[in-house]
Amino acid sequence: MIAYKFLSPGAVAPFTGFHWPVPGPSGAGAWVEAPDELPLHGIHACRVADLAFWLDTELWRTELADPVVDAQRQIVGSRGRLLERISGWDEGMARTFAEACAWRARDRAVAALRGSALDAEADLLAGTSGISRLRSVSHALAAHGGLPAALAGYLAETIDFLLAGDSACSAYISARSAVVAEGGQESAFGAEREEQSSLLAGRLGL
Amino acid sequence: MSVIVNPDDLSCKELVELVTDYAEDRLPPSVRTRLEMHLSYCAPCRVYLAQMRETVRLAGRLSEETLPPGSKEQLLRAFRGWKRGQGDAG
Repeated sequence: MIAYKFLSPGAVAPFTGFHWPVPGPSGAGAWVEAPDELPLHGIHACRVADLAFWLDTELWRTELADPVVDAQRQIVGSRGRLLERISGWDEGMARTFAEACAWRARDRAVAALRGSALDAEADLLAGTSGISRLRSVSHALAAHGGLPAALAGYLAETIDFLLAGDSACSAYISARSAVVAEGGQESAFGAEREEQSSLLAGRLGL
Repeated sequence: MSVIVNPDDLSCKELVELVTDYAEDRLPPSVRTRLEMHLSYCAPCRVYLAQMRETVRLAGRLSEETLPPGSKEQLLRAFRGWKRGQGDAG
């Protein structure tokens, strides 16, 4: 089964520190066997719909050998190997992705503000173009009270982390803002992460 | 106050409470996944976990024989004082 795997620089597994064998001139990387029984200690990878949950520096197209089991926001196999690095996922794409997440947060904030008859604040955010300007406006709004402050606060932090080069945290905060925009519905977080995954997959042509 | 458990999310505070069990591979899969999803976007928690693992690694090298002279007695005094609430940690 073909899936995807985010790794730290040098094809290192972010949680175990395992150095994955990378593909060479002769083809795919060597197969890696799961050290223990599934699903806890199998080879983990993610589906396209899971991408946003596992962002890291490198993205690899991965093959998992059967049996493969579904797990929470990932799939787990008994064996896996790296097929190729997705070259489109780099620092520039991470930034582009985080910017798209920030604009989604802005659009959600505008809709939530309009829904609460806070048209002045909604117009202010809706009329803003450019990430730097959006940052200034959202920081200013965040100093006010109530719903506009909450939504603008998340938006401001989304942009702060984006500008600091932390796209993963930026996208996370953007997804958290969906919960606020939906009146505290926690399910909005997972739904927004899936939207982000779809967005990312589209940009990368996965 | 009720605690909202989101299967796709976990707070830094929760991670700190769970990190020892995570490092010792004692978490159920669902909690482990939530924790690792958190680590994917939270750089400070990644640093915290790395520091914790390094501390365990270094502490694991220590044995009674490697303690400098007098250190064992000093530590025992400190712990006895601490248990009595005197806090004589030196």
